[in-house]
Amino acid sequence: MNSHDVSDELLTEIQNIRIQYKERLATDRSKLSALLDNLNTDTAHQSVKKIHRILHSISGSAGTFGFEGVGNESRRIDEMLKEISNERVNQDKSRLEKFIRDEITTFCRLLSSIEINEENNSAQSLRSRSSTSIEHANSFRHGQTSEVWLIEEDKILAEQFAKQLGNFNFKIQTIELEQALELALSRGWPNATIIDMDGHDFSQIVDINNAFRVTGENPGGLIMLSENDDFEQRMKAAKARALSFLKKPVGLSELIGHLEVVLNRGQADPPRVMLIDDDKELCSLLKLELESEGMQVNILNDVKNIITELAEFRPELVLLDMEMPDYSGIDIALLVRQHVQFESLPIVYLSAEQDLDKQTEALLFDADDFLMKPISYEHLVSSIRSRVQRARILDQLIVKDGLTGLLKHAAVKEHADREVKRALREGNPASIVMLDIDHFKRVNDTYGHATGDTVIASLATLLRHRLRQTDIIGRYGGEEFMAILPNTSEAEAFQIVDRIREVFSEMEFTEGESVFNCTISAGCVCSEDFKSPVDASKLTEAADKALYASKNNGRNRVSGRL
Amino acid sequence: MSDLKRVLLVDDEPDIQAIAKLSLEKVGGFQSLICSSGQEAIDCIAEFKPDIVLLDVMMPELDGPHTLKKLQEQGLVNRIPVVFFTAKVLSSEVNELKELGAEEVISKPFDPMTLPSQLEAIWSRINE
Repeated sequence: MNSHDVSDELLTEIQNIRIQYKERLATDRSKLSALLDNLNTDTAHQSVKKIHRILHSISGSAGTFGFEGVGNESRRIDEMLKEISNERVNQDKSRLEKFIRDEITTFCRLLSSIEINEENNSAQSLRSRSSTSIEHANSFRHGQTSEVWLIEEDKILAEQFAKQLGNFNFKIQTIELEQALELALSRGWPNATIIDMDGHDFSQIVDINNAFRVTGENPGGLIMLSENDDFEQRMKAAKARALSFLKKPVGLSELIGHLEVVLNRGQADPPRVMLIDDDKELCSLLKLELESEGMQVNILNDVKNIITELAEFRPELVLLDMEMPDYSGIDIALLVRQHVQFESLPIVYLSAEQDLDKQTEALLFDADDFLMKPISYEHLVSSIRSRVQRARILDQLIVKDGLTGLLKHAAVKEHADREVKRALREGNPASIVMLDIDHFKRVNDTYGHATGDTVIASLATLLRHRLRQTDIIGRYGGEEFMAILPNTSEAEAFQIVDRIREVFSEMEFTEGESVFNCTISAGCVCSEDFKSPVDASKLTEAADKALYASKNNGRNRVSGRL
Repeated sequence: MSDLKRVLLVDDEPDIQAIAKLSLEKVGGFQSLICSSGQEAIDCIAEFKPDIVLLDVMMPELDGPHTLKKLQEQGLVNRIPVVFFTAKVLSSEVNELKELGAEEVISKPFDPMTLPSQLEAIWSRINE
């Protein structure tokens, strides 16, 4: 199988089948409502059976078509229905009937909300869930556009935000609160929503988000703005499940920073997990389970290869069996920790050990947590997710530049090295781009360092949004940036970077009363244009030369290999 | 070890049939035959000669476990691994299904983008 072949055509076909499935859900909904009418008749028993069949079938299929929330809710009702029907003592028919009536009526409402909306947001969830396999497809070439709602009474401010955020590839829709609530109910929140709290009532947002949590759907990322930055106001925002709170007046770069944090939560890379257990059956079952949750899983077959495999797969978490025939989990954890680069790698023991003292001993020896067998998948998945997320935040603090959130000098060089080697090995091209803000010293001297920082942060954000997720971007020096574009020829890189140059030159920066623009110069080179195989440092040197050619030829331009 | 090429899918739901076919053929590059019932599978398996069978558990009339029993009795799956496909995923139920002679249990809902690699993982494990 070659996941790179997965094309837009396939996505279209899947989309068509989804539409058919939506029609089937509509049929199921009418069947369910009809069955409710028979509940107090003699054939009630058969109706309950039919309801069970429909729920069971939906719970097994809805997720495949991108309707996870519907599937989860269907499974929950089905399981409760089974439980109540099985209660031998006190077969209270009216209780069963009431339960079915309440639950199925609510469920039918959920189904009809899906029918109303033509462009269901589950389509996005289907896409984003599959994004690991399709990120190389052409449509994703220049980064995704994220849909953002802006709920802001002040029309002038709203227009200003919409225009500026549009430059960063965010798709902004200004919308009234009432309309937003209606849409959120019928089709869910978009990727992110910015709400000005002043003058708005929040009780409905709290209700809607509670409803979303019940159905297992993502309530969407809320960012709240307000003039009041006090405990009461922040608590209101927290109760509405806002992920960010910003005090007005809000600066553009601050807002973009928060938007990115909110959006990244939804579409982060899949966690990479390594499994070490001598029970092959359990391993493959766990692998299947975790993969169905969208994680990347690697099973270590021979413990002797652990260090090479760790270095190769770079897991973000290791699941380690406590009791294996030749080595104990503690032995392996200690061996891993002897290597400096794995000192902070999260290790979680899997064990049937009930003895609390032994568990404590194990935790003393360098592991992070202890999960009991038989394993609860739900617990395992959430435990992995939260640990990986924390580890990523820590990692970010270490390797990423504070102002721009991009890789620091050493880290980006390391990545360049790895990517160029990989490109050579696989026979693919890789391009390296060097970029520099023109006359940056003048910006700092005229408008101050704080404004200079805003310009740098804005360029960083623009790069992140205009390049692909698979591209690597770093802050190379003060106002100098480096990007590595795998699978990209020089001509393609030139085109992408030239567009970034154009957009950046149109962005307006303000400092007090004055408005000004900045430009960038860039140089790009591609590995395939060299006769003999090159390494990353040679490519970087050549890209740097091209950058200086751009500077010498009048700036605000991109140059290729000379 | 030979590659996994032919997959027989048994499921009574037309939507699942459509997306599974797409997933197996377009994403996985396999040849597939879709049967809508256990009986149809029993009738077709000898001619199609699948490398692996993907069998839904809950079907009207002949359900998955009974289909498997008949296939086994008639000697139709002696060398063909059978994988159950089910919305029930409690580990006790998984074990029960395996005790019937199934090679693995894949839980529904499945992701059409990763179903082929799940099958390939099972295939390569068996052929190790």
